[in-house]
Parts: sequence; structure tokens; C-alpha cells
Amino acid sequence: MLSLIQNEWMKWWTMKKSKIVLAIYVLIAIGIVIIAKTNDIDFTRSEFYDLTSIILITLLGIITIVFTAEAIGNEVRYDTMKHLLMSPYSRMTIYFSKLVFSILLMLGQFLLIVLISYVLSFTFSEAGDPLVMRDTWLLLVSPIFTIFMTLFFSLLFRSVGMIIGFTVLAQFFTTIAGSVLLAFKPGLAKWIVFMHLDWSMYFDQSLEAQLVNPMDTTLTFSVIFVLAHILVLLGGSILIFQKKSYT
Amino acid sequence: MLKIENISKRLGKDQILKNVSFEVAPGEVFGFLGPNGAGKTTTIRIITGLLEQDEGKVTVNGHDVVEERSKALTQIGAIVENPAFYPYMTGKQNLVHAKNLIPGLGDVDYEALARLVGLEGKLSKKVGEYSLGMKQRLGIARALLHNPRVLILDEPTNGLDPAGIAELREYLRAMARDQNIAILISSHMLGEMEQISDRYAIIDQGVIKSVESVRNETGAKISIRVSKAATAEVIEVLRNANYPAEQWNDQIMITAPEEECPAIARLIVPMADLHELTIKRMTLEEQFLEITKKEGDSHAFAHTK
Repeated sequence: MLSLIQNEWMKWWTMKKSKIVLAIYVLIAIGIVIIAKTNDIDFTRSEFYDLTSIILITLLGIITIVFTAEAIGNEVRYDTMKHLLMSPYSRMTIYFSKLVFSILLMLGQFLLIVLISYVLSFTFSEAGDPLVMRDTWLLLVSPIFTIFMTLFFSLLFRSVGMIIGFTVLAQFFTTIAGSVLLAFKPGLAKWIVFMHLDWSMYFDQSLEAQLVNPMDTTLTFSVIFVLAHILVLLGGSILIFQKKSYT
Repeated sequence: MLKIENISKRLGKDQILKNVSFEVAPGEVFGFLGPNGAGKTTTIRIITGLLEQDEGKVTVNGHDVVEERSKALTQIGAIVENPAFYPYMTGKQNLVHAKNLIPGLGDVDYEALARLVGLEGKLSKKVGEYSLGMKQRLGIARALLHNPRVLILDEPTNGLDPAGIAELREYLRAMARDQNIAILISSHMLGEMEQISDRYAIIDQGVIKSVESVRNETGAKISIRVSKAATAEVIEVLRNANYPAEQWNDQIMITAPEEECPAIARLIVPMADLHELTIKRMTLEEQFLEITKKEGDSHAFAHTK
């Protein structure tokens, strides 16, 4: 499987957009420093870190959809899927190599974002609240879930555009539906998985009041609910990939 | 080496393959012919593990493609339909990618491989800049990367110029002979297949109609030419001797085995001057057309060069 992950890395790293994306993370973070400094915005270290990391991790969510969609979508686009499937590796191994690579790739970018935000935060004052990393790590839940969902859609649609479109739309509309339900029928909102992807709501008092209490949910419920969805998406993906014919 | 036994495949309501069987021996170049939609590519997709048959068995060197997938497919090199690559990667990167798909494969001499297929100095170019012919060559290099025992090529001459086709033909023949590789080539380029294959199978509407040697005697005819004045008399004598003889332009065509030549000559020489006696074998194209049109409902369409 390691050689298959190496292949995924080679395919990703050879694309120009991989380097462009990494450069964008750095440029955005530096841009925020420049804007803050030139406009005399008095950020503390933790304020800068929180703002920059949230902006970049939101961007990472979109980038993760694109790269994960391309992991399978490009094989269909270039008709190279048949070469993967003709190899002695099983379909299951091929699927898992793409899944593991997508998670590793997202984690790599996540760590880069944390590193840039952390290092650049030293250009600001130490005053104010201390820098807390806990909420940053909790933000990982959403992109991990997105990977499983995007890979599932990758097996339903042939074009990269369709995969990205459906993943974004599914996230967008379900989150809107969740927000509407939260306002009018909060008890039902807890049955929408996208309402459980930000686990920092259990550690932040204002979010607890806005989300956790109306939905009457717990961290244990969120963890189980998200894991159950991941298992369904994984099982569905494996079933489809085992049977799917790429002609 | 490669054994296909009674494979059948249904896709939806259509029976695509019905009891397809044939074997390809080591060192043999085996042509797999058929009109478009006859089931060639489906058969190849089953052999290469891309599709699973409903019934029957495919073995490579004794290993079942379904039951022992890894062992069987490690011994197969293939181009199925068009050679497909990642266009944004170089030729070499595409070959490295292919190498990583073979578990346990050691170092590969990519430059030697490039020389072998005529891509010297071209591996550092991005595949997106390759011509179709270069992609075909790279596809063959990829199929040969792990020294397979069975090579499967689906329409390998597509996109190659006449010189490239001749070169590929010589190369494949030499490879079958020297390395004892079993080569299965699917094509509807009958002229090419006649020159390259030792044996061939004709498939039509999912059924194997014939498995023959390219130089087989099926449909062979003896052609003789005598003086115009003696033609009618000679035909009569031949028919009286139970040889089905017919006049065709200035020749007399006799459907009889090659061994009958001396007897026929002995019949004719006492009564007429024998100007010419030759054996006319059916070309692969003629055999193909005869077989695929025999049942009258085939959509056979043969391309020849």
C-alpha cells in the first residue's frame, strides 16, 4: 500500500496547483500580518492566531474537497483508472490508498497552517488571552468527514466538477437546513450530521448556549453520530468501488 | 500460458460472451479478431481482471485471475483500449507510477526500456506533449516494465505510422521468440494480423467462430492455367475424376488439398500444355469475412491495410 500512497503523492506534487495552494496559505497569513501592521490593528498573539488559523482552515475545507475529488475523478478523467484496477492490488487496497493519502494530505496542510499561524503570531503582543490550541485540533473533524463524503461522491459521479459541486451543495444546503431547524425545531437539528462537526461547541460557553443546549446533545452523541456517518459513507464507498465498472 | 475456458458474460440484458475458449502458448503471437462490438475488449477486460466473468475461468500460468488475482496479474502486461497516462507527468514519472503498481518489483532500467520502444531521450517530456504514436510506445514500455509472461495488446498499432507498425511487428515477434512470451493481440487490422500472428481466433457476436493457424489450409484452392482451347476439356476431365473444378477468368480453380497437386498434374499433362499450377490460400481477410458472414446476421466490418 505504501507504494500506492507514493504514487498518489507523485500525482499530487507534480500538479502545479499543489505548490500554488501551499503558497496561498503562506501569502494569506503574511497578508494578514501586513494588513494588521499597516492599519495599526492591535492584535494580540492569540487573536491573530485564531483569526488566521480559522481563515486558512476554512480554505483548507474547500481545498480538501477539490483534492479529494481529483484523487478519483482524475483517474476517470484521464482514463487511468483501468490501469490501477488491472494492477495486482485489490480494489479495496486502491480505495484505501486514496483515502489514507487524502487524510495525510489534509493533515499535512493543516499542520502547515498551524505552523504558519503560530510562527507569525510572534509578530504580535503576548498580552490578552493565552493562545489555546485545543479548538484548532477540534477543527480537524470537519475536513476528515469531508474526505469520506467527497470520496463517496467520487464514486457516484464521473466528472470532478460534479463531485465538487455535489459535495459543496450537500454541505451548504444541509448546513442551512440545520440552521433553520435550530431556530424553529432545535430537537430535529441534532439529527443533521453537519451540526456535529464543530466539537469546540462543547468547550465554548457561547456556542454551548447557541447550539448544544437547544439541540440537547452531548459530545459523546456527536462523536458517535459522526463516526456512524463515516462508517456508512466508508461502507457505501467500498461496496460501490468493488462493483463499479470503469469503461 | 494463457488459458480461457468457457467464459460467458452478460451485461444487463445482453449476452456479451458465450462460452469463449482459447489458449495462447508461450512464444506464440495470437491474433484476436472480430468486428466492432464482437466481444474482443470484454474478453480482454476479463483476462486483465477489469471485469469478472459470469461463468468460466481464465488462468495465467496456472493462476486463476479471479481466485489468485495478484499472482495472475503480476504476470500480465497489457494495453486495454487506448494507452492512458497522466498528461501532466513525464513519460518516466508515468513509468515509475506503473512500477509502483507491481508489488515487489525491483529496479527498472527506464532508459533501456525507452530504447526498446524507440523513445530514447523522450522520457523527460510531459506525456501531454506526446503524439499518439509515442503514447502507444510508452504504453508498450509500461506493459513490458515487469517482464510479463503474457502480453495483451488491444489495437496496438492505432496511431502508429507504417514504419512504426513494421518496427512493432518485428519487435513483438522477436520478443515472443526470444523471451518465450505469450502475446495476445486484438485487432481488426487483418493485414497486420496476418503478418504478425501465428494463430488467431475470430469472435463474432460473443462467440468464438474459429481458431486457426494463420497459414492454415482451410479454403486452400489449386489454381491451374492451360491453353484457352483446352480449358473446357480439362474441366470436364477433372470433374470426371471427382475434382470440383470451375473456370475463373483464364484459370481453373479446384477445391482440393495441396497433396492432390501431383495427381492433378498427371491428369492434365497428357491432354494439354500446363502453363501454371499454384496453390491459392485464403487471405486472413477472406477467411475472416467468410466466417463472420457465414450466418448472414453478422455486422462484420473488416478493415484491411
